[in-house]
Amino acid sequence: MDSQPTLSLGTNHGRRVLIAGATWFLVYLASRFALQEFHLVAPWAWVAALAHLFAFFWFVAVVERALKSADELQRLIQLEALALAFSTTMVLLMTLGLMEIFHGGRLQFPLLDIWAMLPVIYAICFAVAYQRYR
Amino acid sequence: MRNDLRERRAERGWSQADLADKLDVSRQTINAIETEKYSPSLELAFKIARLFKARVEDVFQG
Repeated sequence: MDSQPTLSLGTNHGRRVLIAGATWFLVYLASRFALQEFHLVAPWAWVAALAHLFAFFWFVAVVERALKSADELQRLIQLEALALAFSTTMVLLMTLGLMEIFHGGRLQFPLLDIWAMLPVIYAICFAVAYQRYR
Repeated sequence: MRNDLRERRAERGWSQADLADKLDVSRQTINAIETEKYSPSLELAFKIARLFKARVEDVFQG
């Protein structure tokens, strides 16, 4: 059992999660680049669009292993972080949707990039949850 | 939940990391219990009491 909080960068599990997450992100970027720059057509367009799913499955497996090794407080912190992040993400998206109404149309906010705020929100919420038990 | 974990640990000359290793939890968990920011599960509370050869109600005072 690591004497450090799970999924923090100071642990083996934390580093593995970071590497798996970074790999997933890089595969996603490569797919996006391929689709935008090379104007791929089927079936290669499908291959590019779905390629990052393999990296995602690896990421999920790594996170699951990290959580299995976590103790009860570490799991509680993750649960609180996820609950906070989920509701924060929801309210953000709801607000963006409402802004579209008075903006009189679609906001100039690419749907392709909205996902990027989710890990940032989660990281902030994890920091908040972690601090509560420090 | 109030507890005297820090005193019992100090009596034995154990660090928080030592105690964490003996209980198979993180040092953060030990620190959170000692600073009363976190109440352990029943299972962990019994493990702690067994380690110190004490009763749960002697270690943790609700």
